[in-house]
Amino acid sequence: MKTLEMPSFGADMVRGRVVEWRVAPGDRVCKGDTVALIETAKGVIDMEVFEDVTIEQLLVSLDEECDVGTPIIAVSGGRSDNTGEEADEQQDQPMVPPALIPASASASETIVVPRLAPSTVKISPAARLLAWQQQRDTSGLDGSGPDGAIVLSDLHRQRPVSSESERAPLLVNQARAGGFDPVAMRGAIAAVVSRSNRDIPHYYLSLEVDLEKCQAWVNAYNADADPEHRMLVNAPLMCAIAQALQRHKEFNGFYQQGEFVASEAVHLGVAIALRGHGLVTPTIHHAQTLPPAQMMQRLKSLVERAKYGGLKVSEFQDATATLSSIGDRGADQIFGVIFPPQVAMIGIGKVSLKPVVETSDGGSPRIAIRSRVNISLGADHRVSDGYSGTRLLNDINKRLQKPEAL
Amino acid sequence: MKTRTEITDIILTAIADVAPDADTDELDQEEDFRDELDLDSMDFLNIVIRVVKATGVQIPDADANKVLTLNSMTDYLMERL
Repeated sequence: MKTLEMPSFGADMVRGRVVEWRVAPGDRVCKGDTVALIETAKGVIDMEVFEDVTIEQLLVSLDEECDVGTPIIAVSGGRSDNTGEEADEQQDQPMVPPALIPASASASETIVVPRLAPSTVKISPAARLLAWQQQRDTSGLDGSGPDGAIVLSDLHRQRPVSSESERAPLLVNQARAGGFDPVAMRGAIAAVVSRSNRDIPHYYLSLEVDLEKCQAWVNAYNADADPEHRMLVNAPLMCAIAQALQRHKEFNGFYQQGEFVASEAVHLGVAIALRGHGLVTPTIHHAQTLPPAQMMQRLKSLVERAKYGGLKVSEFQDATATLSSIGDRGADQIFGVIFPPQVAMIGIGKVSLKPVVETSDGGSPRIAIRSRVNISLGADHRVSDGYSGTRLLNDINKRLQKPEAL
Repeated sequence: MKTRTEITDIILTAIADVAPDADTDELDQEEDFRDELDLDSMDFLNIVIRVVKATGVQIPDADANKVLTLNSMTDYLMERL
């Protein structure tokens, strides 16, 4: 019998409880279906399954608090429903989404970073995840699983090596009306930004770019569109940023164990403010492949679900770079704090009309009123330099001048 | 035919839906409600979506600047209902 286990949505989350079952024994569920709503100290998140399975038994009671990794649903079927050694091995593997198993933790001189997947240590995915989340070193630990593999119970016996304050969440959680604790969310944000400012030598650049063409393109797109299908200028902006990030690899990926590993895909974290109650940063996966209309629908869906609930576990991990838009009623520009282990934070200020000196072909310079926006970059100086940062920003600008090609 | 109060209620309901924490009691009906209630462009779009659904009146994107206050949006809808 396989089990689904209490998932985690951040390194600071060690416990959760089921507040609502969406399934009953005997139900057949498909990949992506929500099986339960999980409440943490900071919010309620939909727990989805990652393959087609049949629900056999609910293993915990509603509102019963349990540790991350605790089996909560017994299931059958799915890709590993077979016999023999492979099945035994699978028993120990929770169906956590691949996105939740990080390539590695951020490098930090003061935190003992667990070595993930070292060739000599066997460790179950659940134990690997917990070890990473709790910044625990598994070397030297005796495993009680098959072939001496380290399993969850081994970790539960071992005392965590790092203190609570040293555990830093990758991302903070989402909120649902009535289901989150602003104090805990503030604490999670505090932990991640403190770690970022302590460990990452940031440098900052900003470029004012012209949005006239983009705005005109969006206006033309919206002219005949009903409100549900209208676009905000943020959509092409995000497309340009995602596409430029893919090309400028030193800004897209993870800095881990003293080494930067670029990501081929751009998984764009998007900071969404919860109207004075903190922020969440869900991820738009493969953002570089999305045209503006699709980007808009994804963004709209994320904002909607950040406010009213329905964000999924898989949407909380994996971001390779993050975008923070201070909003069109906000400030001129924002210089953000990088989410470790990412290496870049892109900021979008408010769009405003500005006088700009134009030099047209051969004519004398004249002043024109143009729609402009500041795009900023906060980047990790261990990985890139200001020169490459300027190239990224100018590439974004260049793409914005051809919105029809995005 | 809806009364002015009914239309204003539809708009306020849409605002409350999109920004539950916004205090519409103190809302100045002549001021841009994006400023008054700290709404961003996504919030505003979502309000327009709800108002269009509830009234059946189309608000083309080009007319967005004609519906930025509670009074002007109410006027706009009254004229078209």
